[in-house]
Amino acid sequence: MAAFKDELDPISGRKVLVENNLTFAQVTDAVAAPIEAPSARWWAFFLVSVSMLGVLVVSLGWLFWEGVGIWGLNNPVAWGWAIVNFVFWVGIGHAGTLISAVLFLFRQKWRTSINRASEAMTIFAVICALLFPTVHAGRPWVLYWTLPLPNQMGMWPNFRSPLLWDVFAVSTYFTVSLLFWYVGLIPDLATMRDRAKSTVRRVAYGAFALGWRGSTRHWLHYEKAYLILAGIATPLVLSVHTIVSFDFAVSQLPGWHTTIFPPYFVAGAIFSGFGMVLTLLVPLRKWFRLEALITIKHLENMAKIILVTGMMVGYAYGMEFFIAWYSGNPYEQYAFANRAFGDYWWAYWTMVSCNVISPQLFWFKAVRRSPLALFIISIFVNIGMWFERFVITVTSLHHDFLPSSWDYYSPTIWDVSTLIGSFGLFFTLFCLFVRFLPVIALAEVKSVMPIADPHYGDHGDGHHHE
Amino acid sequence: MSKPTESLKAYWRSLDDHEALRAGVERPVSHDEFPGQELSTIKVGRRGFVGILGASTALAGLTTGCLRKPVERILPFAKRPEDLIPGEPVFYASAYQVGGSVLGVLVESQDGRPTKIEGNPKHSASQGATDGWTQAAVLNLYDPERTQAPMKRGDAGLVPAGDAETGAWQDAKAGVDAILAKTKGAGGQGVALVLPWTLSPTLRAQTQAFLKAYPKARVFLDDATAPVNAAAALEMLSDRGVRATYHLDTARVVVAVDSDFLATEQDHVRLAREFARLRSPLKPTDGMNRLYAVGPHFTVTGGAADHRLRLRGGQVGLFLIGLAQALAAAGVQMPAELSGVLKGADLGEQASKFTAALAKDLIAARAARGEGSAILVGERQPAWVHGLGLAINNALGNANNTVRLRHDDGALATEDLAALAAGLSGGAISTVLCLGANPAHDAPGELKLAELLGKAEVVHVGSHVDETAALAAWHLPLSHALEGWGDLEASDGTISICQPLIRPLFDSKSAVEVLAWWASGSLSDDENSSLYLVQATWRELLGTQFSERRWQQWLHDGVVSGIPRSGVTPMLLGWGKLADAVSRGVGALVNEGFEVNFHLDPKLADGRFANNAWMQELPHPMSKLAWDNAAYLSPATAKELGVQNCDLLSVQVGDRSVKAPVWIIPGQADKTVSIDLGNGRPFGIIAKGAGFDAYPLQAAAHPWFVGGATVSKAGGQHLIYSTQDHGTLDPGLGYEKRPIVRETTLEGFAKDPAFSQKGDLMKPEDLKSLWDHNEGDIGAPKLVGKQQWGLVIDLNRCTGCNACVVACQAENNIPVVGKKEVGNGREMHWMRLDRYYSGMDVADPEVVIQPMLCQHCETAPCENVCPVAATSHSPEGLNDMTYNRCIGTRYCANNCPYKVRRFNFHNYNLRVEEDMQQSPLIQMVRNPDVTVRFRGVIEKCSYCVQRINQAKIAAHVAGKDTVEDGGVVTACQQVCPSEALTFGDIADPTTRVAKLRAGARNYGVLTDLLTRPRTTYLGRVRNPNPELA
Repeated sequence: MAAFKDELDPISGRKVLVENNLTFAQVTDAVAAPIEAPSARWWAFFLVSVSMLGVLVVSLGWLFWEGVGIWGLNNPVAWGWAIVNFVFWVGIGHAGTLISAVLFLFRQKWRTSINRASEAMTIFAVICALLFPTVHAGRPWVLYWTLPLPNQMGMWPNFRSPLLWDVFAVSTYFTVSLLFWYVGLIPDLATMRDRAKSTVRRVAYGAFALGWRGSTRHWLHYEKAYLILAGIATPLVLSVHTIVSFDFAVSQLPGWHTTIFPPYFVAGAIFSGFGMVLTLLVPLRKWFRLEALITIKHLENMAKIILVTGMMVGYAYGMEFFIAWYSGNPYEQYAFANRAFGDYWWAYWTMVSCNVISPQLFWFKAVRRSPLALFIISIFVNIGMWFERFVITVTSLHHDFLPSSWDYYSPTIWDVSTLIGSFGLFFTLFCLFVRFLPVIALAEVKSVMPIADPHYGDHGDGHHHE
Repeated sequence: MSKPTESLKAYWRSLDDHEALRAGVERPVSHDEFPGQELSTIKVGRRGFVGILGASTALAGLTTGCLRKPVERILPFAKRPEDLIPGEPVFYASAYQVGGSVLGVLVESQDGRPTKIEGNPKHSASQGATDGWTQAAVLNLYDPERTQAPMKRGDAGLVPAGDAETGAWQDAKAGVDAILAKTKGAGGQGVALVLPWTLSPTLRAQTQAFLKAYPKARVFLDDATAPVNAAAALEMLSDRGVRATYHLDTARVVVAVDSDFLATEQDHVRLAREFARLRSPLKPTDGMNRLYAVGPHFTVTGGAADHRLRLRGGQVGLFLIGLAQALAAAGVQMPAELSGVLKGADLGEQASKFTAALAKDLIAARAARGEGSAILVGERQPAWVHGLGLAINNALGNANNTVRLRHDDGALATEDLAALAAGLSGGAISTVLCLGANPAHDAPGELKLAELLGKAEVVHVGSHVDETAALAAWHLPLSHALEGWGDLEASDGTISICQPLIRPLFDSKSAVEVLAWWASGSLSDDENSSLYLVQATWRELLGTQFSERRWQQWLHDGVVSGIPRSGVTPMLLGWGKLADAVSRGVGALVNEGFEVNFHLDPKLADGRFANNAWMQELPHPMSKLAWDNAAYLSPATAKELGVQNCDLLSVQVGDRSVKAPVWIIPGQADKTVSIDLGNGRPFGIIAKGAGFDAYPLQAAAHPWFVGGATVSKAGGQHLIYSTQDHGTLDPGLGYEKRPIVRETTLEGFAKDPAFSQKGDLMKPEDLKSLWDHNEGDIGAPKLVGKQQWGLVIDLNRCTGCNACVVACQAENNIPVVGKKEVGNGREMHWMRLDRYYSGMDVADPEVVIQPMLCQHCETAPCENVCPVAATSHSPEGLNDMTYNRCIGTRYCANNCPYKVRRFNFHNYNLRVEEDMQQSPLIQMVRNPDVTVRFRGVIEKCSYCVQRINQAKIAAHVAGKDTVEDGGVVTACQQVCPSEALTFGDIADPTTRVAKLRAGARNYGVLTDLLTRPRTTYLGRVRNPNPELA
């Protein structure tokens, strides 16, 4: 396939991870450019995002004033879009840590040019995710009761509740992800400090760079710390969505009470996380002219992961139906029949089309290597994964055991505005990230560049090894 | 492979389900998938906008968002009044009347304010139970829209009477006296006194006194709830004042002829109790009664029936003729005079088969020793049909057995509203005094009484500025039944003294005070004048036998004793007159075209509860519609007319027409429309906009049904909400196999006494507890309490009359959410009556009602999932809800398989207060023993934990360590006319509840989930006639 020719590493013969024979300085300049001179496009995006954030602030204001009755919830459907959005955002938050920690441990060097942005995405997605369980509570002002704080009532939270496990799982995940991200940032913050032309920048970056000077001792400690954090973060990648799935699986509702949920949720989370990474990086690499760093090869790798996880998710969808039939439990059978053919059939088939069918296009190399196609399919993946959570949450609740309580759930304008607002929060944070922090892990990416190899080019003995 | 559920019946919830059930395939989404629901958009008003602005700012600042709570002061008594223990409720015996039913009641007074009404166990008509209307009466008391002071007609409508110098009542007295004085010389010529069905000896005596003072005045009856047709039939067959009561305690065969005797007819509370007592076989050999129902509309009684025949209202009389014929043919001696009219009643094959089987059954019941039968004819049927019913009862030997006749000596001779209309239009009547009556509202529309009253001088005494008040020259506030003294005589002659529970909240007078004033000309200012007036009646009646001690005894017992009664039993003799009436009546029937049927609303009665939020929000027993009435159509008729639920229907009778939303309901007779009365009132925050008014359609000659109507699709929709049928689309897969309701026939019960255990998806021995293999049962609820509470609900006894739902609302301060929130699926009732249809014939299904409330599972799914342990198990087995601790994750509601948890999506209590213009009155109805819940918390049935604790305290004070059986009575149990609920200690095998739980019919719902519910059900046994099977 001559059409897909990648630049090869002159030494290893493998495809290069940084193309165009860039030098270290050129890489640093390319990454630092958007920070040092923001474009008009950035301003446009930032203002739109902040406006959407404003929608969130108004929506939450009305929510706190009036109560969760402003949403479309009703008696059988006590969880609606807020929980859908929570699971959706937590899922998105998966790819970052997977890329940075799991791929790090597996020595997947291609991760270096995408891990920074993915981790940032993770943290912002988890912030959005944490927002929803907080505000969806009837009395959010006493939400701290879910924390095991000593108190005069002598009351502990209920350790049997999956929601409590959620509190621990998601907050742990957030803390570790944040630390991991920050530790990775330190050498690059020092680079930014050193390039700073204003005092404010120098002091700010300097403070966060923790006095990094790039000494060997620094590097030694840094790499140990990074490895340890990667080790800590890796099980969390699996645990957090497993525990989120327990919110459903531990209950006894038909359609929720399913042992397949933990692996199914983790696969779905990786699927959606990579989808979101593509959604963010495809435009980003173009607008920031980072095509040489985030190469087509990177995108292709991610497409393959999406294809794999998409099929895992598809398998889970099928297996749920099989088990429902095989169980002989009429409630379970009804719940799944109702999913596919009941009131919410459109949501179910939207989910299947987006999550199972659309990634099948990734069997074609031309699609995997087309940024436009990747971007479009990544949007479908995002939509599909949102619908997956909607299908799980709402279709199971709206028709459960006693037909007398069955009802239909439809969102209100406030459900919609809160979801839009959460995207506002996410994109505002992401805009601020690309404005002030290097979107590519400079120190790490430099280590995998061809010229970083000691055997690269002329290294003093006058010979060329080719 | 045969599944254990395959023997189960197919149940369906609404017509949409049923179609799918029959088709057996999934159907495309119909455009009607969510009747009455549109995407709700919350309109942000000015206040709301400022709210968002404030809260948004607070959110942005995150530090300045604290809102100050309003300062509330609690003022204790400086000195404790004698006999008052703060917080201890006091009960007073009284009585309450709706139509022909008088219930002896015990009214609970909490620190001087009445909060709850219970039945008086010593009173024959209530026997400790009440109905939904009586439960709701206490909320009527605190209606802030009641008229607060006398009003008179000004230039622009009614204005307050009196001024700074003249008191309002002084002014009113002068004004009304002037009106009366004009006619005094002519002996009251032209004066009409309009009264509701009067069962008060004092009011009757005062009416006579009034007629003595104004001998030419005429008295008219205006009360849609009154049993006038039954009385007319008895007076036709016997003497004036003859009344009948029915007694079902020995009736093996009961025939409800267009009669809703379990919910709305005279004495429905006592009849439901007697009926239920013969309907709950605990073992197959117990036997049970059999109920046949005939009529156009599915009522509570129709739902309880073993056999039901759908007939137009106009065919019901013909059915009785056919039954009489069949009985006569089988050798039952019918009065000879009737032989000429018992003919020509062919209603088709189904009806004749039904009639033949019924006749046979009735004869068999007559033959059985100590048993009998009863034909109950509903008030909707004209007098001649009642007469036929009496003839059949008489012929079957039910007289003095299930049908008892008596002389109501004091019964008032009244004229009907048609006579009033004639008098008004002819000019014979120029002055109309309405005392507690509202003829402009509830008169049949054909009379055009509102127009006619507009020309007369009207004095209206009533609780609200209603339709008649709007026409009145004087509108005087009438006290609520709990605000003044009175007396009431029940249908069987039991008399109760009505005690006031509270001084009138407004400047109002009770009926006895007003009528005494009109009769005597003097109006007392004494706040005890109603007491003196009632006492005076009894002093006069008893003479020297009256004593203060006796009076006190009556008040204490709630029943008047030692009254001389005429011992003569009336005889039914006037069969000749009946024969004439029958031939005239049959001739007048119109059985062509559409028939419009009118029914007393099981919620609003004739409209007197229209401004009562509890009753408006109550789901209709069959359709489950809340906040609206509808034009009920059968599925076939709806198809014929091309209408769907919520489509507007134009119903025209003569030149009168109304537009009403359609609700398709199984069991309705084809080509008939049924409409509940009393809705669509033009006034009241609660009443206005709820439903539509059907009185305008009524014909004068026979108001309850009218044939030859024109019915067509009107175009457009009016959204109405049912609490059970929204979002009815589903593929139906697996639905019909749910073993939620277990039922069999009496025959099936004999064959398989353990029928109710059949249908469990898992055998009990296959269910493994999570805790069993744990050392020391870690995490299992510690049920170490001395007593273990449980509830058994008998599906055979439950009729779905709704009394428990209202009682629970009254007892537990359950907020009302309003029509829009009901449409959103957020009604708050802790107790709901699930109604399922069964049977493959969509036009004529069977009905089963299943009360559903917190099951208090021993291993409750809700408890595990609450992150803050806000719901937890008590050592006595209660699933407790700690409102203070709840943070509102609603996880418990999701995980409850019975979906009995209710969430405060908004601050509903605040909303009610805002709707009521911040009137403090609405707070007075609340039970101080139960927390009023804030927004954001879950609530649910607590088994009336406040009552359990009261009983435990009482037992403790009495030196006992346990509460004896029957010591705790939950609100739903107490109110239940049919004694369907039994509560008590299930750990003690000697209690009633434990015995029922150990019985053959006991089963739990969804026990496959190993929830171990404390609330269990007794499976339903039907008693079909084998000949009709």
